[in-house]
Amino acid sequence: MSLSPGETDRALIARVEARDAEALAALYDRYAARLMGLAQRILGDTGEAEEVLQEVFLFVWRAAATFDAARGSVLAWLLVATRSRSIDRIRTRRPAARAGLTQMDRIPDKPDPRDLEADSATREWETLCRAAIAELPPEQRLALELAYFEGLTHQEISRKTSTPLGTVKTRVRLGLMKLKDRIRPYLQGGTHGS
Amino acid sequence: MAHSERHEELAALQALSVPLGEESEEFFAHLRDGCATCEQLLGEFRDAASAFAAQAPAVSPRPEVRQKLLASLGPARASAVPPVPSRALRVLVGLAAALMLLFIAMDDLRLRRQREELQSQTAQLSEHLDKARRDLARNNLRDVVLQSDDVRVLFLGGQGPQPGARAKVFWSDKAKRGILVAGNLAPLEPGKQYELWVFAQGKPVPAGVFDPDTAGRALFESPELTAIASAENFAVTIEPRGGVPAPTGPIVLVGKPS
Repeated sequence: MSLSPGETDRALIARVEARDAEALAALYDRYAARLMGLAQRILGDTGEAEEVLQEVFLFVWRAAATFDAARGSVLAWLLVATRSRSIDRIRTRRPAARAGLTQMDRIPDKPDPRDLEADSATREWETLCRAAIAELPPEQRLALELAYFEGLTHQEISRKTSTPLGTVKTRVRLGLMKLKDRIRPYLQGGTHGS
Repeated sequence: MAHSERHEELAALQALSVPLGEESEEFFAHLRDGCATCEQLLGEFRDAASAFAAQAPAVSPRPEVRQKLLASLGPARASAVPPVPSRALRVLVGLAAALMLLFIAMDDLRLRRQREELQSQTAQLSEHLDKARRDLARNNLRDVVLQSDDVRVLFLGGQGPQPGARAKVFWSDKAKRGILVAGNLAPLEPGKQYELWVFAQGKPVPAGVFDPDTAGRALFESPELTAIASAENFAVTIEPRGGVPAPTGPIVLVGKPS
């Protein structure tokens, strides 16, 4: 039986840990476009997004040993690394330049044609994610998007949406609960990354 | 502390890397206490949050980025399969393989140690970051009170068992918070703490417990007391450790708004 893509991700990380540059290149080829898209979505700047992408893969090269499969999938780990570096950059820009703010209204509901370059497992995962997010109540989706793409704190979301702090916390919790219930069975099935 | 929905809310925020402020200490203490539910939820929430990345269209980076990355990696171990050796070389290949196994074992040990060091450093950095966040949150709270345009200063005088005690309260009705600065407080027996009370509509509202330092000084910041529209007076009593909902012990400080 061939390895599932998820197991392959972990196998690649193990090889990177053993200083195998080809394994890092394979991970890069698999996820660079996805991570670049996320960094560009948050930062709104291609040059900065490429810098973040490079930082993330250098981090993987140097710290592959810190990957902990118990804390999430390889893809989730890479996405967290990409997002946190991108959010750090926009937080240093605040309050003047918040590129992400201008992009809130143009989140695509359908896959970009370039997504078709991704492997089928990734496409399937993305389709599932988009469907799961589309099913969220709008107020939960908004709270999560403000936190995820703009790095806003719960207090900032509360002020921005004129919503009580407790309500924001509840929306974030309920939104992630629903998403995990939709996505977790897929990840546990080994089709992708867990 | 028992698991609750509040911990799940904090796990959700943590999964999104949202700074938890003062609640950070509570949440990580809860995790250290071994809450398996929160530990599991944190991982699941992280995976769930990553779903939002699917909303961002994939963008191919320029080929130069890949080239630059791979060129910057430094020495790497080749992974290509070596050609099958001739019969004459098999003994040498066997020796080389044995040496390679030894090298891999040593390298594995080195990587394990490196991993442990990295994990230790990560934990230390995380603690420093949490402390910095707590300090920042505490300073922000002080600013909320001290920079409010309705801040008042109220003087509290010693009473009963501690006539020499003195205190000031900086209070803002808008912020619904206060800062108490006290001196000459006597040390208390174990199991006792000082408790601050805010009087509103003639009734005492508990505003938190505190301990003075060895010199009898205390700096205490009350939590936000949302039920109070306007503070009328303040008092400090000696109560069982952890505080009580209504005063039971002797009054040691009391004051009047100036």
